[in-house]
Amino acid sequence: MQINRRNVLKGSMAATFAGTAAGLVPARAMAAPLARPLASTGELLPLVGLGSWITFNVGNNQKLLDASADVMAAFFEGGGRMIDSSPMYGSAQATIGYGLKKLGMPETLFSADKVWTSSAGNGSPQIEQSRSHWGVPKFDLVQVHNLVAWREHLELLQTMKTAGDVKYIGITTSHGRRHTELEDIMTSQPVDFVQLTYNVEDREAEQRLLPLARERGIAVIVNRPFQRGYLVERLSSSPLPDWVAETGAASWAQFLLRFVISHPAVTCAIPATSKVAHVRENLAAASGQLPDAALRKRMADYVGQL
Amino acid sequence: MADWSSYSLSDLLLFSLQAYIGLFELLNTTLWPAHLVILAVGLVIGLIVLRRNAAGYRVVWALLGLLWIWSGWHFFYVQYTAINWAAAYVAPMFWLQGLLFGLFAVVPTCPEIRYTGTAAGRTAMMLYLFALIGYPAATLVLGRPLDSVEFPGISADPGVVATLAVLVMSRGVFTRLAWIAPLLWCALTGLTLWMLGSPEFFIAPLAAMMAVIAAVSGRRLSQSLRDG
Ligand SMILES: NC(=O)c1ccc[n+]([C@@H]2O[C@H](COP(=O)([O-])OP(=O)(O)OC[C@H]3O[C@@H](n4cnc5c(N)ncnc54)[C@H](OP(=O)(O)O)[C@@H]3O)[C@@H](O)[C@H]2O)c1
Repeated sequence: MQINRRNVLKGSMAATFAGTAAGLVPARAMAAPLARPLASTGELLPLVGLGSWITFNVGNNQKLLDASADVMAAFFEGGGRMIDSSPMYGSAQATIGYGLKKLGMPETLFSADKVWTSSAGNGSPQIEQSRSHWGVPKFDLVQVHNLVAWREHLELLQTMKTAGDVKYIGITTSHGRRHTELEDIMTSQPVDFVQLTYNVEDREAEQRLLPLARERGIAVIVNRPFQRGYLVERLSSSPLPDWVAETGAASWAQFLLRFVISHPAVTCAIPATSKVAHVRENLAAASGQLPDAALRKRMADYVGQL
Repeated sequence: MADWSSYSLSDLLLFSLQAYIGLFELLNTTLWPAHLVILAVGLVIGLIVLRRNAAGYRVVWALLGLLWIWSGWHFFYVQYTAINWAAAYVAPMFWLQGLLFGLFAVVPTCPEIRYTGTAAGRTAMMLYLFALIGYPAATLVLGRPLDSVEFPGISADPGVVATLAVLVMSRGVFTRLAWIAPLLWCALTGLTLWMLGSPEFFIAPLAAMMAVIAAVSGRRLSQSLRDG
């Protein structure tokens, strides 16, 4: 299947029927990717968001800034909502701000950023600086990046949340780092979101973190769904399985994304991309009937034996 | 930032090859036609070296000092930091190197820069010309668009290679100190480009290796001539 806007629309309409049956809902009435409600507020978040690590760190090059804005335009046009960034990602926040301004501040944006400093005192000014890069009045979600100084920052975020300066708070890790500590935080701290690495090959989160998130009503953002792109690159030299139609995927990228977002604990996967065609392809993965547990196992087994 | 131990080398690379190339496109368009002035100054340095003029050596060291301070400020501190915050930490190394060359230019025993017709001298002159003209051409041949080629004085790498070529031809114990920063940078830029998957990754390290070999063999030769 060729990935284009028409197919995205077709997929979204199919999702209206197939998705609702599986407890999922399309984020908007039309042309919307499947979405899951947040346990804390019931707010709907499409299953596919947009990361910004590396891809949006384009500096001051006007052509690349405009290309990033095009990616964002396609993202919002396809019904996407969550964009994730961090002060760690070079000029990515400023690029997002440039794109948002160019697109007239899309109302559907769900802004997710991070606090990333080992000094507790720097947390607040850093969040303010990030906010001004984005040009938003306030963030929907602020996460403690990679558990850095998490006690101090979570306290700050909690205060901000109480004051109405941020809607949700969370914490992130990646590559399976410090999962035990993350588990403790998820059990003891009032976080709305947790962000971690999960993909068809890195499945450690399935053991404890994903079940715990479901149990405690914590929304899960999945980073590195393509292992920074290595997974798609590596798998593209292998054939998709004969039974790929059963997975609802039309490409390796969609196969990998559908594996991730079909886990019932996952709220949103945030693949990063610098290409309009890829953002459309990724959003289109959040449509139709998602794989069930048996099919997910088959998908993982298939990749495992390649 | 905290917790760096849990990052892999590739995690530290915050930008893509596309963004890196985009940086040179931006530099070339904003600084054009400074390229022509730099080329002219580069040729003047070459002529001074060939003419073995004592006052000329001071001019060469002073110009090299300016080149390094300018690269540290404009390339690293102003432009490269936009995609790589670590560049701000490289800038001081370029400033210090610039000051060292400035010192060479003013001290009473100004280090000589002498072209000899030996293999080492010829290698040095070839490296110098390569930095001036060959480097931009090589980046072009290896796939960079014309507006994103690397030019000495505009980007760091060709200027560093030109510096190494001058150092091969230089005399004096203190000039050995001046090798540290260029060699370090050649290793660092090679590693960065290799991690980015850029085909030019080998150029600066290879040039550095050639410069070291030329310098060592040149010194051995002059030593044995002295020893008779
Ligand atoms: N600790 C943390 O908080 C943490 C850590 C890591 C990541 N993150 C977040 O998670 C996001 C996602 O992770 P990531 O960027 O590291 O890796 P990723 O999303 O797994 O992979 C990104 C790569 O996949 C490629 N790609 C995207 N869509 C594709 C498609 N449809 N077909 C083929 N290739 C495709 C992109 O290349 P193209 O540009 O060519 O499309 C890009 O190079 C990050 O951007 C960041 O926002 C957070």
